[in-house]
Amino acid sequence: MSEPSTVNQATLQKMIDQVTAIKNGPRVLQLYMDLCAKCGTCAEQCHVAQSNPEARVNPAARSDLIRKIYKRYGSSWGKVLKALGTARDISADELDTWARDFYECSGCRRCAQFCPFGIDNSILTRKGRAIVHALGKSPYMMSETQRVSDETGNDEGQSYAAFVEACRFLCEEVKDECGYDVEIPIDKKGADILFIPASADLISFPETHMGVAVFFEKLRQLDGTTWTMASTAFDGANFGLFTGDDPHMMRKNQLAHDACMTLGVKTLVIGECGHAYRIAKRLGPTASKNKNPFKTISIFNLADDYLQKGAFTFDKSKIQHSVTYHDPCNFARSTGIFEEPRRLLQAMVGDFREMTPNRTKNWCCGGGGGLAVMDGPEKVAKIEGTFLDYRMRAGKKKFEQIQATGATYVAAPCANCKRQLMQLMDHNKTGVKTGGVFDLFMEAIVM
Amino acid sequence: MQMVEILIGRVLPFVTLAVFVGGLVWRLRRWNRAAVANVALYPAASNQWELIKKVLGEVAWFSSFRHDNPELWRKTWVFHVTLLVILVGHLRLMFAWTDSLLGVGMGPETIDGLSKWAGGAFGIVALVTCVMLLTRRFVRPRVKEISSGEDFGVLILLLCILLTGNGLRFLMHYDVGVTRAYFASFFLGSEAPQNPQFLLHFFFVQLLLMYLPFGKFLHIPGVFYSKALLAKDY
Repeated sequence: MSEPSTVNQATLQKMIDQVTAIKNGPRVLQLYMDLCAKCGTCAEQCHVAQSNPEARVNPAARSDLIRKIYKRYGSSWGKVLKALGTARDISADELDTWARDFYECSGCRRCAQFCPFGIDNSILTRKGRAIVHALGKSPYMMSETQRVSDETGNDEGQSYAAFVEACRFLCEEVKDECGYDVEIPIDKKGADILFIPASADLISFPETHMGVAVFFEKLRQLDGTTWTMASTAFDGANFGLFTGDDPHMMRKNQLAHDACMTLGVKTLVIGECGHAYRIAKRLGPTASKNKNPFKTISIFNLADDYLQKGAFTFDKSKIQHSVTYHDPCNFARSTGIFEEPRRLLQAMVGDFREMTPNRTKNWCCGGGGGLAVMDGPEKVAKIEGTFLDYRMRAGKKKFEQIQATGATYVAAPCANCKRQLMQLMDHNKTGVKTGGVFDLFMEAIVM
Repeated sequence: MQMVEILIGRVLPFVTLAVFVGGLVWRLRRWNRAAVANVALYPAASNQWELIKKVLGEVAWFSSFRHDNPELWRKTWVFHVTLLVILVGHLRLMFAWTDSLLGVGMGPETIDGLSKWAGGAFGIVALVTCVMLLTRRFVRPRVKEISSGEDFGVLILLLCILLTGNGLRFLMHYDVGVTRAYFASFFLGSEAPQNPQFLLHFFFVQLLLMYLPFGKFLHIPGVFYSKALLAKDY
């Protein structure tokens, strides 16, 4: 564990100032300060609260970390509200408490689905994390990943040479495993599509990237569609979303935008990474609202277009597994991608099993909000145990869901979900394989 | 007694009106002026008509938690619906012309009977569900751990309103004409009402109205804003 923050009035005052500034907006935070009726619905629908009886992991209690400071210092009635229990004084170890508590929420937005007023505690979590980050107390791996990303353009710190070699190697692997000749073009100007995955796929989940290469080769055969990756932007993952660091988030996505412009592509296609797609589609410079000369879609939108036209033939006998589908939170709840992956899986797989609940009501894997990349205590002063301990506990609902389906493969199109689910399946000794959707495409497609 | 009548019946209502209206205007202006980001949560609406349908539907039926938190839904939906009916019914205590609207062709005895029996029944149901909402704050650990003085206090205030209101309905003969005369000449300087039960009920109601723009009852206008923010994807 790291040393606790010493009592520093200037730091506490900065926290107070950041919180009371909510009076001026944004609207969503103003509303969330005012409306919570403390009905307890969010705790019933939160995977963390359902696996841990501690009061602090009740989503309304966590959001109250900000609310009670806001009401104490942002209102002339602060002391009266304190007497009523609706406000409280800031405490000496407030920053350390926030650094722990806001990283006990995975930002999955499930609470918002069920709240009578639509209060999204993940937005308050992100606000809390932003304040923690600005004061230099984000968990170690969060800050370190951002530092590496700013230095090298990707979260894994891969060099250009390593990236090129990984692509070459994966093409060889496709040839060895399936006999298909595929190419992963890099920096091809005038290509129809720029494809950006989470760069973790290149190292940790190569079957997904191999499947993507096979997919694009199939498109080329069908109608000559061309694609490329970019040496300056081969990582869509973006920890600015998780730390609340908006400048980092915009900076990282700007790489993708600039690559699209330099290469003159018509379409930016984001791979199996929910938060990369959410940022690219809605939040960053590549967002659709910015009226760029290229459109931004998910690889699932693209695949579904072809699937609906009957362009693909699959051999279902190639997939021996019974397959269930985990909805990454940033695909289902934040960007509305939940039917497209299902249609693709149902076309490829003989035995597809739906988990319950599913789609926008599905449970978080427990590794969302960047938590999946953290295993140790990460220099968080008040952490109890490690982030791995936390994630295995928080994943209880997801484990029960997967087990109830009896499936032998869980398809999870998100690098962070994959890491969390692999560890969760191992931890519970289930023998269930975790992989992406396009891993199965490679096996089942008839070229 | 006369001083109390004047304070609650002639002075406080103007303070209440100023605080309620001024406070609401101030809050709504603050929300309206603030920056709005896209925080769409799926399934979301892709145009204005879909947005209106979705938000109104969710507010009318409390549909976001209807199936997934039935324990709360049963209590709170019934509570809110009975309160709404009671509020609409109260219009006839203030304005004589509402009888023709609310009665829809019924005679005066029928309207009085409806007010007595249906109004009385709704008053009982509202009270019972209010007690249930208060009780659950004590018996359910995940609700108790997030409840503060404000949460209990507001429910107790509602209970006081419902108890005194039901008292007016069931424990005495109440003359509608007296309150109608009071409200009709409200701004011109009417007689202060004298019925102590009415004064008590009126006092609690005014406390609630003054509290509304500053506490969690802001969810009355606020729920439309917050649901619309999540539902909007265009």
